[in-house]
Amino acid sequence: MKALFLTVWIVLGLATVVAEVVGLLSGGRFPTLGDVMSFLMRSRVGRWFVLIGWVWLGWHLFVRSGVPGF
Amino acid sequence: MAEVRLLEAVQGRWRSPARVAVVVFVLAYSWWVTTFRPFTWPIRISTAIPGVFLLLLAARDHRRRTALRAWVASWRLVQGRHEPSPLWRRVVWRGGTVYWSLLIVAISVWELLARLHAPRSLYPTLSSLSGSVTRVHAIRFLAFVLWLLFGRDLLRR
Repeated sequence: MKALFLTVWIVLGLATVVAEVVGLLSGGRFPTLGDVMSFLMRSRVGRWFVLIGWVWLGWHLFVRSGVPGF
Repeated sequence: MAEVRLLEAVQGRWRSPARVAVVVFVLAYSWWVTTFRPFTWPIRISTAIPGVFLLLLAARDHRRRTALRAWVASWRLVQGRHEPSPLWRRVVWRGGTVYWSLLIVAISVWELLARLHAPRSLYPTLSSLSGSVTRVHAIRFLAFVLWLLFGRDLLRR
């Protein structure tokens, strides 16, 4: 089960990186993550959704994961 | 000529002592915050401070944002396409937005699935995966600075 979960995470990570690189190299033909964020943040609800998502990401990465090695 | 203007712009941005002080403060704060152990009150409070600060700034931001249709039109102008873009370009752009939407949904579903199962060693979440990388203080510090920069970028959109 661990192998399956790790494989899917790697595939999703690669899919994200590839899409971002394609978007950056396409000269605006393919959207980047920034374009998607701008699109979502056009509305007030979307704006708050993205900003709360940012807070959640920081909380997840720094409060709920990792132990400093010193 | 363009390079000279760019250099002047960069120098101008760094000429302000207040701006330099803010950058130094943010770096020092990020370094200090990332010395705290996870799952403790110091890291909870020190991570919540920039989060609450950004949400307060967002609540005070009453800029009128252009409607979606106007935004798409302006994006086409930026791209230098005054005439309607060819069909294949629209298909690629819309396909890209569908791709990103599906990717965001897939990441959310997979995170939720992992979160609903135990033990974490068999069902890794994003935080348990990132935990193995951010054990190193320098990487943790860099990740915190990137998170703050990402938040600032979102606030400007």
